Amino acid sequence: MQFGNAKPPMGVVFDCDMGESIDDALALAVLYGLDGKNECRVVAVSTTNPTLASAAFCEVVGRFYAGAVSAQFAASGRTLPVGMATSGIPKMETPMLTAPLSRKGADGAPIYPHGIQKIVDTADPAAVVRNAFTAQHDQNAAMVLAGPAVTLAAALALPGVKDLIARKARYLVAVERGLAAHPASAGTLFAEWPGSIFVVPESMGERYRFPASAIETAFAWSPNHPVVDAFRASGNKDAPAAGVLAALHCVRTDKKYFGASAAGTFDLGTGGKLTLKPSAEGRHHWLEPDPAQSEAVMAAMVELASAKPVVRQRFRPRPVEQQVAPPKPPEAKPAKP
Amino acid sequence: MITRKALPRRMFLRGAGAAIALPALDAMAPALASSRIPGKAPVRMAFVYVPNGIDMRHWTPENEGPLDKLPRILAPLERHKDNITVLSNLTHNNGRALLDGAGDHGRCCGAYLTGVQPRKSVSDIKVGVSCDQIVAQQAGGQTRFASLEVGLEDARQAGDCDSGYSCAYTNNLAWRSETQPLPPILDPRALFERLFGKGVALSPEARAREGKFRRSILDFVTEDTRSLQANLGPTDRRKLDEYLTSIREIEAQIAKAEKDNSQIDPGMAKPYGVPADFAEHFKLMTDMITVAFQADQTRVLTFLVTREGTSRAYREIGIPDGHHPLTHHRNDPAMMEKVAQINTYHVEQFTKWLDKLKAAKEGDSNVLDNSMIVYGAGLSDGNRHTHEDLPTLIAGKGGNHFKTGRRIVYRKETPMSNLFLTMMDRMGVHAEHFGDSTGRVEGLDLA
Repeated sequence: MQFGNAKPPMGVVFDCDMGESIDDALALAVLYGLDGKNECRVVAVSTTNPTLASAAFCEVVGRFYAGAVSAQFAASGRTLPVGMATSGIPKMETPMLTAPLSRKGADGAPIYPHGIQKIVDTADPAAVVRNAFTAQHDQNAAMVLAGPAVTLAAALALPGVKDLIARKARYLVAVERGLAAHPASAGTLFAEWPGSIFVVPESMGERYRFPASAIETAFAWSPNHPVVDAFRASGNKDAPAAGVLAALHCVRTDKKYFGASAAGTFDLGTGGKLTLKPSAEGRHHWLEPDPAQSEAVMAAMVELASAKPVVRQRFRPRPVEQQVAPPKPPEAKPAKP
Repeated sequence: MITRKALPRRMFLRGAGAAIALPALDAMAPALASSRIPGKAPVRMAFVYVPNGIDMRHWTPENEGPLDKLPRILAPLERHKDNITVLSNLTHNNGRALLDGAGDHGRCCGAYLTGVQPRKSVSDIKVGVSCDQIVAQQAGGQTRFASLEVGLEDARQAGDCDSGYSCAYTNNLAWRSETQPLPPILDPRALFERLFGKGVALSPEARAREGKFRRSILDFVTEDTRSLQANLGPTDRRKLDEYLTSIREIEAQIAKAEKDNSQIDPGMAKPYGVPADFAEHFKLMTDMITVAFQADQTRVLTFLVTREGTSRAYREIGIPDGHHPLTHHRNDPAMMEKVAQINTYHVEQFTKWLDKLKAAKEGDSNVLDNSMIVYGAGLSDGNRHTHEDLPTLIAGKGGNHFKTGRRIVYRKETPMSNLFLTMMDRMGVHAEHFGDSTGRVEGLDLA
């Protein structure tokens, strides 16, 4: 087994609607930053935005973190197939996607090459999500849903997937804005997801804005960074960061950056307004800000989104909490006279 | 006006200990015309599995859509270009490790037709019912044999064949139940006896006893043959004659192999009827399968060319190295060249079988057109043990149903189980899902 008897860092499945908001790109960067610190493994990436540019940008970010430091690794490493929904949500081919994808170097070659030219270069997102969970240890996976629940609802409809997720996933952290964009799939998600769901309210995303100033400072180490190019193309101003908060909470639950509401069951009313009906048996929660942690949250957002890529190790060290002190060497016997 | 009574489709030439099923004859078709109606002939489903992956650089056609120049490994199929469909990007997720560590050969073969991840065990085996057996169990009653399982390499059924995976996984394709594989028949004589004898394979001792008095099986059905011939028109007489001749030739080939083997090495471990030459063995088995298809003895076949993970050498084509070690070539060009040669050699034998199926007429069509024969492997890159974009092609039109002569590229991670579910539909067996399917594959149909 790759990690011996210990579980590897938690596997994170990331589903978004890349292109709709820079928040998704920053959230993915944060997850790769956490991956580089061996706090999690990004095991699947998919988008519900049914445009090739959306999937291509996801792949570009994956390649950036897989190979920017080590060309040798980039050549031999395998980037994840990006899942892409083909219907359900209107296409959004926005500047944050087209600007980085169209950038070319002096030689005319793309700055960020990718392998997604046709729809067959993408993957069925429901299969991507399902397959990712099949490869995780029990209770050693989680999901960040930064976009609508279209893909997740489709995955939950596959035979055995509900049980699979119940076995593998600790929880789901979703973003209110994405859920509200497709109420029907959100309803399915709330009914079918077998574990806990934490939702980042839109107001929290507004409260913690990713600072534009960090783009010119924290990312200065890299002359070409797809997330930086996307940020600039999307307005280059402080950006609501609900997806980033979802990624942070998903992986760093132990840091207690945020609080959680009392348990209940989410419901999307006719106006698409998400409400939590309190219930002792409920497994759904709002994520709540903790003013005492605001500074730490802002620092973590910037530090992780701008983290340098780290070459993946085939055999990674165990997570800190699983590391055990090496056995003491046997006491030396007194030499015989 | 037609006055002659049509012959029944299921008819045998019988004699002592022999029962030879007949191919489709015009005299079996009422009012002359039904055999000309497309889709009336039975549809056959077959799976031909080659081990250790395939060199995908020489397998994958350059373009999607109509097949143009075939790549090196597929080049022998040039004359059948219009009869095949190359499928790309099909994946077996359950062949992957999924926390079970090493053992890709055991997993990929066990998962291939079941779509289920095999339990990692040497003794407590468990996988799933294979799609061929689902069809055999639900539709196999229409033929003498619900299914046939054949292979070319003698292999044990117990013990550890790959990092803790039972040999049952690497050495079988068909699974009757989650725990019961159906071992392939390797010995041509055993297959012959199954098809034309009493339907069972004799023990080696019984066979040796009978061999002393061996005559052609056709000798036992002479009376039936004569009486049938008297009632056939000239076309049917010729067809029957060709069919019986092919059976006689098979018998002669088996007898020759047995004689050769006894002279070469009386103590050899494999059955006497197994030819020493790989191509000859392949031909003999596929000749019999062709006859079985022609006579509608079965509509379901699994053919494990050699067992998964095999280290068989191919001295026939000048390759003394083991197949499996060669596939772990670490990008050594000399080793990669040998792998490509083996892959091509397999396709050459397969092509010769397709020639036979194409020549076997069925009304206005032929047996190949009325079949869907999957040729493929459970690994794509045998060096890195990858389970996505598995090398897959379908030969035949599935009864004038598939639009052939094309390469179809599916989206990444499309489960191989989706293809098998679609094929089960074509066999009249409709299931909601199979293995890890997420739906049916699209684009195969004529529509």
